[in-house]
Amino acid sequence: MKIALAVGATREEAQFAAQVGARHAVIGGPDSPRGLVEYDALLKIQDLFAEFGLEVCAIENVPIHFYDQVMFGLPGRDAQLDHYCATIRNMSRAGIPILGYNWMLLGGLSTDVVRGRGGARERRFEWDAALRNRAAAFDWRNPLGTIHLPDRDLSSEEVWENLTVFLQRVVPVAEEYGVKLAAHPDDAPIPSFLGVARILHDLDALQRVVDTVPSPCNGLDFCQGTISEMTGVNVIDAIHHFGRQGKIVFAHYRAVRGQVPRFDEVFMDEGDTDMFAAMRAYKEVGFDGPMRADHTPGVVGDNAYAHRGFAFEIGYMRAMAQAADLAAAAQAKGGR
Amino acid sequence: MRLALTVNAWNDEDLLFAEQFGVTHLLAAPVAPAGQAWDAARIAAMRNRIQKAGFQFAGLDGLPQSLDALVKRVLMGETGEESLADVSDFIVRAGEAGVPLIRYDLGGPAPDLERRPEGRGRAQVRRLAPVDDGPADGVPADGAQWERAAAAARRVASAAESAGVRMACRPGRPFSRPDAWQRLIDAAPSPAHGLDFSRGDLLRWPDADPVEAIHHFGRQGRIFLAEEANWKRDASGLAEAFLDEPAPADEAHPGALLLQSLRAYREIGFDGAIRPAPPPGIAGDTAWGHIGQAFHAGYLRAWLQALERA
Repeated sequence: MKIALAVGATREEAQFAAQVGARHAVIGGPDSPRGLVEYDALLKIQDLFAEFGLEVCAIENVPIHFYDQVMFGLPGRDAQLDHYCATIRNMSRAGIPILGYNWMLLGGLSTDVVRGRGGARERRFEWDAALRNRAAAFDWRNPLGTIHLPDRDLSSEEVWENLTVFLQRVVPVAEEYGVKLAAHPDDAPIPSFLGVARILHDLDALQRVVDTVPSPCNGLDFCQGTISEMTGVNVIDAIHHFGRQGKIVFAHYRAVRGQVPRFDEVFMDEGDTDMFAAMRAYKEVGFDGPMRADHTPGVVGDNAYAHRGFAFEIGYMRAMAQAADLAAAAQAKGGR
Repeated sequence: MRLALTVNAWNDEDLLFAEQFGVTHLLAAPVAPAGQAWDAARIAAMRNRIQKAGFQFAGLDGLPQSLDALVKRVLMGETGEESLADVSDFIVRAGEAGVPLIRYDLGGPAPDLERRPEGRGRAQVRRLAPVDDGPADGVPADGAQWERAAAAARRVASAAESAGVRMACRPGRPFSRPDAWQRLIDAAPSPAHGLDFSRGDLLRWPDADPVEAIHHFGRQGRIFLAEEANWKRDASGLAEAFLDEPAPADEAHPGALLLQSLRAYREIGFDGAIRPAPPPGIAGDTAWGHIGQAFHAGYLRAWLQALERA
């Protein structure tokens, strides 16, 4: 697998990634007035990263206004789908093989920032609190654009229909151009919010995504953190389930304490998941795509890029990956 | 084996930093608050700060600067070993203040070169110039140097024994060759005198076997403290590296040597503190290297968890 980091298009961030040993970078899709990811913009970012030996291995999310009409089933849908396909073609031309996307109509949700280990600031989600104070639960800082607030409810059936339209149109293009699509589960994984369905909130839904248009290019952005937040889910089993099908094209390695209705995003070494077992599971299913560090708690004295927090996480991931490799090699030899 | 960091215990931010990254044991840098003396009360206050913050106090990472300089002068023959009385006094005071362990340098540091941006991603790394049989500090000690070192070690060990403190000796130039380590241990055969065992120090010697050395000194109960450091050998000598970078012997299976070492520590029953060496310089980092320290802490933390769960 490729240990990666989400990196903004700055020299400073690229150098940090290289220094902590990442060779693969995940970027957000650069915005553009045309509503698609332009080839030239990708080349510029690739050139910047090449100075530090970093390869752009995935785009994770394009700006929300590139496909919000599709998610909500609005009149501009067909034009956005055309542009989305153009984005895929441009990625293919630039040699970027993975496009992560989410289907969270109202974005990510969290309800509080609490003091964790050593007073580190950790994000919390609490369902009751989300219902009590709904505006506060929004991810207002979403860098991908303003949340589209609908004036009516959207049922699960309707949102599934919109996603199906998207997959039916986009997956064949992705397949033709050799770009893998990777669906991120809804974080927080609750079935609806403000009357709008959050359809990718359990494992059945993730299975339904990949079954809707079967293709090697229709896979998952397996956010280990979000999946471990799902009530009753054993994330190691889930890695095996989707990994065996070859459906994990991209992974987020993250730890959480608790599950819906309440969970905290904690440091990698203190969550509910046995992170060594998780890393071994990815190896066992032959996952060879990018795995990136995800959120990090806020630590003392950190900079705007959270380099202290991410340095800890990347160091942790690097060791777990080495340990899992060695365990697999020993097992193959018939040792421990 | 417990993950430790060396911090300035008077700095609240460093205590928080260590706690946030899952560190349970702290070594304190041997610094007193500005203008204050190193008496037993001051040392006890420092221990209290660390313990109140919820850490195990693993000891002092070095002697105060003036005493460290004194040891070096004695080793150079500039002054007699009787002047180590101040060091003995300090050890006794530290014992009274509840300090369980003091690391000390016996010998000089390796003659390293200025840090240069030649590491991974142009990280700033120190380099050691090559010599035929090892790094540039490989000149063996002469007889007089040995006598002075042995006398110093005996004095330190004797004070430590009566004070109930363990002294973790870090052999330096000209006693840094692996065969010299045992000689220093034998010079002061006391249960209060052992090693600050740095696997990185041994990696600098082409023929040293760090895993065997852990067993060797561990069997004798002489590893008091451990440090993980990494050096990479190339055509122009030795360069500091991040802990996760594979050594040449490790390239086919990165981490294999570390895993063997951690297993060896476990097998010898080592339950002391293991700490990362100062990291290579990351762009934009502080002088202490908070980003680099976080990276190394995460790396070691994960290895210790993996070892537990394997």
